[in-house]
Amino acid sequence: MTSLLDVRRLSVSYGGLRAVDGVSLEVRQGEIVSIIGMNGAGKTSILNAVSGMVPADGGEILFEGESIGGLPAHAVVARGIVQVPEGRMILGTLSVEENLRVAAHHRDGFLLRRRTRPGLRRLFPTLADKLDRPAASLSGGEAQMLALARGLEAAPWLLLLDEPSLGLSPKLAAGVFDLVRRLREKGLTILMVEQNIRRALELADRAYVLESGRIRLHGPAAELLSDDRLVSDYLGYPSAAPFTSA
Amino acid sequence: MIDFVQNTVDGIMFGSSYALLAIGFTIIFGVMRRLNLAYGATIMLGAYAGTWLHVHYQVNALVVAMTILACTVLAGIYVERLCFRAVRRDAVLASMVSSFVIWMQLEEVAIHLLPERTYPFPSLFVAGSFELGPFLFRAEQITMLALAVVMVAALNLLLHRTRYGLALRAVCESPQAAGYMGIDTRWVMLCAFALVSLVGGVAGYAILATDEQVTPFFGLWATFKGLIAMMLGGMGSLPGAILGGLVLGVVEAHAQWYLGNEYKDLSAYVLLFAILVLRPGGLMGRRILGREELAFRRV
Repeated sequence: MTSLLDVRRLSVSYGGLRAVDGVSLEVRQGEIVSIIGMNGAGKTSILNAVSGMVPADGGEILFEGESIGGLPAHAVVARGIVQVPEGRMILGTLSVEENLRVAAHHRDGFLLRRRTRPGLRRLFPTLADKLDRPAASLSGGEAQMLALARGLEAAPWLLLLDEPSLGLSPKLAAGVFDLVRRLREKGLTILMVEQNIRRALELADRAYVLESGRIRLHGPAAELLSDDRLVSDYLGYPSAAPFTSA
Repeated sequence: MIDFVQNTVDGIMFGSSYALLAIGFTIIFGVMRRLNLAYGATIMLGAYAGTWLHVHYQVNALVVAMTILACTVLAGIYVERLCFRAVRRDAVLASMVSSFVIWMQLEEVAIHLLPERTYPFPSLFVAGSFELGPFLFRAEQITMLALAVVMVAALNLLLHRTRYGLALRAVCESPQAAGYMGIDTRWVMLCAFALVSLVGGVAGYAILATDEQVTPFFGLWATFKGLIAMMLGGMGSLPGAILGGLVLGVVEAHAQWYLGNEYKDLSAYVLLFAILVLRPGGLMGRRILGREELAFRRV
């Protein structure tokens, strides 16, 4: 598989505090890659740096072989990298359809056109009936679905998912993960940050384990999931087996 | 009763220009979450640029009107660059203070352009009045109201039917979320300044064409009237800005008739004080809840 995203020695700081320290990672066409780690490990900062929402201190970000480091967020989206941010960031005063249109605004002409793509209706049947409702009236699960639908409406080549199951009940979270799996089956490439480590590893082809802004481990997700020491550290299970060092 | 109706109609007509001024303040406040104190001064500078051309080169009223719109937009972009883009978003006070400084700067430029106290202002409007039953209507005021209605309708279409309007509403709610969705937030903000400057230019032209004179104090006057109308209606609310402008116009018209000209401006301040005490969020703004009420609503 060819490399779609190539992050090399990426560093991100906030007011002198280094959140990401020399991280290198790769996402290949058509795969799901998970970044896992504790709170404050720097997972979201990596996604934000890739999407152009925060500036990188150093390192390189290559998308399809071309450097996108330093590009503003709107230019990164125009290249096909779309981030579904943590906390959903739904525009509550706008209707559900307007939220979708915001994501697709670069495909509109001067005047807005009303349209609902059939594919989106199939993926998100609960939203299809609520297009005219204010987004603020949606439940937590529906809001997460809207966040995902909005991300897809922007027509991404690479979808950055930041904590897609955050704040959802186990049942709703399972629905979100099922959707992510279906998106992968349709050929979408996904880089995902997720605190539900077991789920993240079950879904992903490969994963990176982040600790204090640095990659501690990386490898095929199935291998990491069977790594007792990693499971012990992050899921609380006892273990003695060694893990593969990065 | 006839006087009351006549004053109300006059107030609505003049209040429509206040509404346009308030819309300018409201849109910038909605997008930037900061007050642009130089807004009135940018309109005044545009008016002075047009008047300067008229005084020195005797250009016709249409050229004056176009010059006002163009120069107000340029001055608005100048303010955005200096006071808002160059200042961090969370530095609210720095933006307000710098926009106040630019206000003074623009006023100085205007005084240097035309040093005398007042200048006649060339109007495109048809002057005159006509009677309809017991009521008297001035043609300039009807033109002013028509201009305001057209501007509000155009703004409404722009905000709800166009790609830019949707982007502007998204940025108003959350610049960060809009950024994640690929909206060029800086471009949207720059265009918002140009847009409100255009609206302000139309309002300024309508007011000055009715008054037929211009002074450097027009910037101060426009800032006060626009701010008061915005706060009356509710900060950040477009329908509120329109309502606030109309209410201000009507109250001033009644105060002028029943109490005398010297009470016209005072009535605006008293009205603002009363609204802020009774309904701190403005007529159509969100209600501002007290600490106890907030705590009560949590459970």
